[in-house]
Amino acid sequence: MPDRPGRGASRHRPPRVGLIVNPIAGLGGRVGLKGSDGEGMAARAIELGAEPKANHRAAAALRALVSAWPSGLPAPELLVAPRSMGEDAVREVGLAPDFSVDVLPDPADGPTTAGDPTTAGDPTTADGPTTADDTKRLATRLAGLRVDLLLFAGGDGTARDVHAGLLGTHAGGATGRAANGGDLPPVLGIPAGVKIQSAVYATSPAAAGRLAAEWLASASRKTEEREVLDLDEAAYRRGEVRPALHGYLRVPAERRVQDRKAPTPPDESVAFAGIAEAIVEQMGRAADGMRWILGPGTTVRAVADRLGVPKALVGVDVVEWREDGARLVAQDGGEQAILRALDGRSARIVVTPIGGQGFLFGRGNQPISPAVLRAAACGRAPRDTLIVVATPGKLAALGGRPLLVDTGDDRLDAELAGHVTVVTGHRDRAVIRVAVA
Amino acid sequence: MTAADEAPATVGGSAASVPSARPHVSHRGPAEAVAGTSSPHAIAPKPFPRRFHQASWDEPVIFELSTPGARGVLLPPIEPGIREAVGNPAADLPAGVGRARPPQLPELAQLHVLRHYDRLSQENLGVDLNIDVGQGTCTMKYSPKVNEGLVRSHKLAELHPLQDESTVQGILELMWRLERFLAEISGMDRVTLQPAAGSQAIWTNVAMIRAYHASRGEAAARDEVVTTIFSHPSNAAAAKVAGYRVITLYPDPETGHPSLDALRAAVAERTAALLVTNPEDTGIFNPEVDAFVRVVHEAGGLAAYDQANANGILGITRARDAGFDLCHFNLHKTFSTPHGSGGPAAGACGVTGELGPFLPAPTVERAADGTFALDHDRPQSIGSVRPWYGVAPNLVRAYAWIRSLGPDGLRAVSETAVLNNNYLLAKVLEIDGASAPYAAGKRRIEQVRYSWETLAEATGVHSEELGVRMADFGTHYWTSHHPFVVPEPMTLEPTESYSKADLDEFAAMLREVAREARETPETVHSAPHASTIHRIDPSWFDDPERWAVTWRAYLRKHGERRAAEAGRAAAGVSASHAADA
Repeated sequence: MPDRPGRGASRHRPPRVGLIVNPIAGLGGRVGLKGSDGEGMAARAIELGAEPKANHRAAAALRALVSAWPSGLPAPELLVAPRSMGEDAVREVGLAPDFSVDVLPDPADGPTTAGDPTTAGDPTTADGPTTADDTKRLATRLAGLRVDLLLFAGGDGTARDVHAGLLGTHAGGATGRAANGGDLPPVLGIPAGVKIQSAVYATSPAAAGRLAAEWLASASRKTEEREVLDLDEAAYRRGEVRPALHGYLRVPAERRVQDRKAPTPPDESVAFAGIAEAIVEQMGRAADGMRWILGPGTTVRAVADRLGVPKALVGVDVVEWREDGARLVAQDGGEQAILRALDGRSARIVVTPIGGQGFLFGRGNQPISPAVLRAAACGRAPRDTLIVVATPGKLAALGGRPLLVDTGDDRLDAELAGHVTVVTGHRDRAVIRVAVA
Repeated sequence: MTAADEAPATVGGSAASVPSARPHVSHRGPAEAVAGTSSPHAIAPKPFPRRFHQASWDEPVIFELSTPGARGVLLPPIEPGIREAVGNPAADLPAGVGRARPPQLPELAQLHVLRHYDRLSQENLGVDLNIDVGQGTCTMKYSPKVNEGLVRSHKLAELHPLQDESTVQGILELMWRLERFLAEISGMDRVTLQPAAGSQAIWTNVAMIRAYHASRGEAAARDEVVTTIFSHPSNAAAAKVAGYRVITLYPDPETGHPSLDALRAAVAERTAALLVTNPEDTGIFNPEVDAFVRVVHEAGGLAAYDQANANGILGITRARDAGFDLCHFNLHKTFSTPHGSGGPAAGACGVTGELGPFLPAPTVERAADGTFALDHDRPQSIGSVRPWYGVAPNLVRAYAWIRSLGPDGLRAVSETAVLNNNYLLAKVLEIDGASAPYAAGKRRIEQVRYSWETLAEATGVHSEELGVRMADFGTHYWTSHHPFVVPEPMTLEPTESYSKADLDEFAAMLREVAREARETPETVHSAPHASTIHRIDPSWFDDPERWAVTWRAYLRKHGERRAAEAGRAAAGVSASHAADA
């Protein structure tokens, strides 16, 4: 659930903050390589004259954290990864003595596994190579040390590795599904990578440091779940933007200064509840036995919560609605499982765009394939089966950009394009343009 | 009106030192006082930015000032003759009406009451005190003080709404004439002055829309209202209170206003009405608004024009000319009456003849013999939206303001407001990190919703924080409604009241704060340093367990201990006293 309160600021115990730096993050950007993921990319970037910047960015975040730390509270204990993975950034800042710093043992000293081929790094520093596996292992370790907040500097690949590490598994790659950020320690990304699609990053290193300080010092320590997205860098280098949803992580909810004229924006959970109520009312008006395909995401999960059925946060489920309640017909299904669950009957499809991206189809919800969309429509226009849900905040963050569809079927994409009504609250709708990606 | 004043000579000269990041420390050292010695103010130098410091009385809540037994007025004893003649007037009250115990009101002497409220008044900013262009969408303009003399006159102040109509012909005539003025300004046939606020006027329009559809047997079939994200949110709110489902249109990223295609996708046979502001809160005028109205009319819906933002279009364009069926004005914005901070202000609704029967009752009518009367016999009326007929003092102020200007003067008001706004727009866009999203290169009408997104990305300083820091210079600005569709928003509305020097000073203050965000961000993060209070903790507004709008609720939720902790010795007395109740 959103807004899970953390342990809250204690006047007695210093908060414990973990720091992981992906030292090669951002290397590929300025030399035009579009990221440093993939075998040989970091070395290639260095050849082209790229300078590692991630440690400087982490240091900038630490400086902001220190300067924003309230004088009355005990200073945080920093648990940092060794050498270029965190320690260097701390040395660059030269922290005051009241900030205690513990350097973790080198992850390479632990049991080793083969480097993850998608994000493995290359030798970049005098003290030896760092790999995606190092990030994962360090994240696992810091979670075990019960950090109040885990700061990490990097890009989307780093966020993905941190997510995998926190899940305590190295299998959290492109198909990772167990991804419920709600059970993991809160994290906050310091942007240092070339591509930042994930919503777990602050807008700048300074913003990350400041937010970390304010959040750790606050009594409530409210958090929100945000998407971990990563592009396929090989495709990105070919000019294709293909972000995939890997899971959710809990990040500090930013407490903005109160406005004098506008009321506090309601909690996201209020918007979720209103949307869920609207959908469940709509279910009540539909024919008994109707199948409802529920796409991934926290907004759609709120509908499942309201129905009392379990929901795969990163997967697609099918429920059947009857007057006496809802029943799960397919859980976390692939295309074929969903088609079987429909059993030739028409269905409605509840989906939410990926936050910040606006992708309605083709990113993170591929099981809702062209075949599923056409089967659900049962001969009618596929867009008539759609129920798009999104909070007003998510729509605002689109900045006027349209929602995007990329189902892999050009004709279907063209049919889905146009204007769509989006359920934004109990009795609230918005009209938003849908375009072919 | 805009004076042709020259800009201050010392803009942006950065004589200011870095203010302390800690509260309660003066943020201007004495060294700066000499910074302007080369200026004409050699004896009393006036460096930029001005060395503002607001009063901070650390004043308790009035309940905490209570001393049991203290009185403001000691009433004389009742004379025996009166006592005998009247008896006990309370004896005739029905049982259960009287209180068992007196209400827990604060007990203070007159001086202490006066001093309390004088102190609070010093801890405020207002249009008479600061360069109030930052309260965008509120149309903060000068309210001529001569009009205060009119409304304080016993001729108005001692009127009573229950007086016989024959004895209040003057105020009825004034109301009738004001309605005619507003009908002329909007192009509408009939006007009501009953609502006490802008949102209440929107509500009145929605109620008339509902009554209109009900009169045609379509009340249930038409259950949707269309509005835009940059229209005032009271449009959506009023529609929801009336039971409508609300469909919100988002702006086209190029033009800043919704496209006709988006409107067509939203309008259907279920559409009861379009409720729209124009220019919207961005200051961008939708040039297709007449086509919007046509699309809604073709679907059988009505179109209502929220003219709270009318200050840039007086005498230039009219709601009726774009085909609207209803509109409303905020007299406390465009027509110069005080805002009242939550009321009473004054709203005015204009409608076409077709919707006239649904106007709130009573209406002011002129008989054939030239006399005026209130007409309560209006069978199709939505009923009364407010006791009596409008906020009379504000109606007198608005009437006087319109009469003092005349048609040409009203147009000059709008032209000046638009000129001021576009001058300030040019000045703000010179500041590194500021932008005016949408409609690039195009002028705005009477206000602009700016964005500090570039600055925020570079510095981590949010727009709200810049607005708070402005308090250290004796002003402020407002961001926008939620959600922030324009990221890091700032909404400025310089009305016709401000001089060029005012606008230059305001822009220079913004430039200074933006400079601080880059060079000494901690100064901004920890602001305000020279204002009444440092920061409030907004999390209280999210938490029903903590928020309290009355002292009684505060004590209930926070307990005697908390109240005693918070206050002085007097507070402890008051709290235990109240806890007995």
